[in-house]
Amino acid sequence: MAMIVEVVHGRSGEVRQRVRVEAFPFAIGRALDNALVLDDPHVDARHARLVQEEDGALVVEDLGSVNKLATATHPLAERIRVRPGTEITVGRTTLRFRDDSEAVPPAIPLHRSAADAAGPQRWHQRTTVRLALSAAALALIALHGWLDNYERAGATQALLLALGVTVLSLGWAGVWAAVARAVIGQFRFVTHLFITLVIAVAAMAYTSLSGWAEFLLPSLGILGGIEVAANLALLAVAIAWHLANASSLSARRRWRAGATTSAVVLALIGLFALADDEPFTDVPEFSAVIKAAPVAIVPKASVAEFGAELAALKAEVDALRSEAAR
Amino acid sequence: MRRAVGAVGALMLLASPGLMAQQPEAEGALPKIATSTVFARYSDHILKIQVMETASNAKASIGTGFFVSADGLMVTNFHVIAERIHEPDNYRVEVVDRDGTAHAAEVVALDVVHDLAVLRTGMASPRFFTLGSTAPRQGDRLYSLGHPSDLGLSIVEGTYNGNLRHTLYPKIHFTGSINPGMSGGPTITEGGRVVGVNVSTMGEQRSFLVPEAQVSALVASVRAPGFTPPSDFLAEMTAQLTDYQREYLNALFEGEDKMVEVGAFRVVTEPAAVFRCWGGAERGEDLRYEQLWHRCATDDEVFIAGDQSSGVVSIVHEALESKGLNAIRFAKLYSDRFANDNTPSGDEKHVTPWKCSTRNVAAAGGTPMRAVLCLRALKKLEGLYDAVLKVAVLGNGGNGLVSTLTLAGASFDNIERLTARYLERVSWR
Repeated sequence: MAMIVEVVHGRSGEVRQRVRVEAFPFAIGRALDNALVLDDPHVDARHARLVQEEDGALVVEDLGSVNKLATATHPLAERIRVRPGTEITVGRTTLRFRDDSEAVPPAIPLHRSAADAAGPQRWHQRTTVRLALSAAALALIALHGWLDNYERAGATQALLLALGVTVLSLGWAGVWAAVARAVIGQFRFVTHLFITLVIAVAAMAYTSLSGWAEFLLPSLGILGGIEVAANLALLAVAIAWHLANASSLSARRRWRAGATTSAVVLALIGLFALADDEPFTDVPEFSAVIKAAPVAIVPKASVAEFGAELAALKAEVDALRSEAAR
Repeated sequence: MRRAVGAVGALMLLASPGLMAQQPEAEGALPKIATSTVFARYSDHILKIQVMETASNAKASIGTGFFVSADGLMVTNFHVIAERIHEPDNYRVEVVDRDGTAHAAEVVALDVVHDLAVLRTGMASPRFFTLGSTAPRQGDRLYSLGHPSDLGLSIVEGTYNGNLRHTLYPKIHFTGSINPGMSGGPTITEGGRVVGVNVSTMGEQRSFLVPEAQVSALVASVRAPGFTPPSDFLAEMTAQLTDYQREYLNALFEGEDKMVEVGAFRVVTEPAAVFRCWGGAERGEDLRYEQLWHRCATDDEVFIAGDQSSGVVSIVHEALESKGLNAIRFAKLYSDRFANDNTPSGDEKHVTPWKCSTRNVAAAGGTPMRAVLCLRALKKLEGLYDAVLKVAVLGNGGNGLVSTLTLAGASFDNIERLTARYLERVSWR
């Protein structure tokens, strides 16, 4: 194993320079006789050096520079232990250490013929399979729409729902395909459509499952919090999965992007929740879900157990009453 | 076109002689004494009451009151001065004399169940009504006085139609136009005897009076030696409402319940003689289901404030039957009907938000059902609550029943007992 030092552009994350560490100490600075020369006015002529300690650990030592060394957690460090993956900042330049034996992802094929030649695809990666599965997902959504209403024109409404979902999914997949074309030079439209519909079906399945949980175990209450968490998780998965087909980001960075998006949405939800001062309502909130289940499988409380709930409700409304009186 | 106009003209012409023909008959029924004489004799017994909002110094609502003693005791409806009781810091009561001068007045007694209040005005009132029982016959002419919509003291003729038969607490049915603002005014005979106090109307001359006997009782309590006004009127109201319920709610669902078939279900109906039930159905070619409803409620509504009432008990049964919906689609319909909010409305000033608990419940050997119990407290009347118990019978395939019991302004004991009885004793088939 040998260590590689990458000089990373701060904003784009683009690697500007890649240097193999051939010998220790490995000098870093602005002067031209350093092993790694950095064109950064905030870097000293002899800024730092990379040395190997007796136990084999690699350490970057500051050589009494003006701006010292920095990591994400220590803005003014003098000694930093580094291993593959570590990022440090010297002046305004970011250095990333990597192991030269690290595996890299396979090349992205430029053409369909290249893609076929790159090796046999797994069955679910085939375009025809993905199209078929997308159609099946739409059919499932339509069926769900039909079962979820009791109007005479139920079939029409179900078809309209499926049509609406199709149009939205085509739009969403289209945006990702455009991004993919710009970044990796391929549209991969069918893949993005497939991802969109899989996520939509997952969201639908989740809603259905939580409805069943609410019906069978009403004492859990309305699972609002879990609902938000589940939808945010689905959003993170969707973003990461789309990115896998629209960029050459590493898996870690893709997941980070997904998690960041979810976090931003969560923050927005929180902001709206804070802004909303819960207006008074005289409409009761309760779980009214009834599912078509054989009564034998439904856990049932006795009348006495249910009656005991009344005392708890009394305590709650009495507390609200005295709170209002203050 | 011309023909149509001609036809309308003919109708109007036909109608007018009809009215004229009735004129002599109506004249024959007129009393010996003219209405103007009644007005001239008694109008100085009656004054306008206004409830002033203290910060804006303008009237928030108006009503009517009448003197029942020479030292300025005045009778009106509780609902006329209710804001003063609920928010004594924000409202005060004034009585406006015939010159337009306002005099401060204080509430000294109230009977919330019968919607009456007694005010002490501090004015000398040599002209007042002497209370005492009268025995009008159905059809007797009566005169109602008051200040409709602040338009000035008015007199309205109408007829006595006896006590309502379906209410636990007596109310006189008066056929005459009582309008907002006349509340608290008296309805009298031509001889100046008070028959009742104007209290409410259903419109189109269907008006209601609080009988004189209740007025006499309340005034007598004020005039009794050693009387002091209650120090806390809200506590007094709570006590009166609690007493009232003891009589009203105790017997519900206790004996043999009267049962009725609603669709595929057998349900309780008319739990007491004071309940009146109405029904209806919703079916049609464009519906994939049939909906029947059967609703029982009392008319003994006790005014607490604005849109808050007490003593209201209602039962609503809604039966659903699938007409070609499969089990999953029917369950969706059932959920929506169960979720449908039919709870009484409420103002933040007077009630807390609802708190609810939902369970799937089965009585021993009974029908499994989804049941939800919602409770809210009346903020100003400690110890009184509104409660709603709603159940949906499970496991009947394409048939469903949503049944709701609503109790408004009831004590916790009553709510506990009645909801438990309703769940246990009411059998669903």
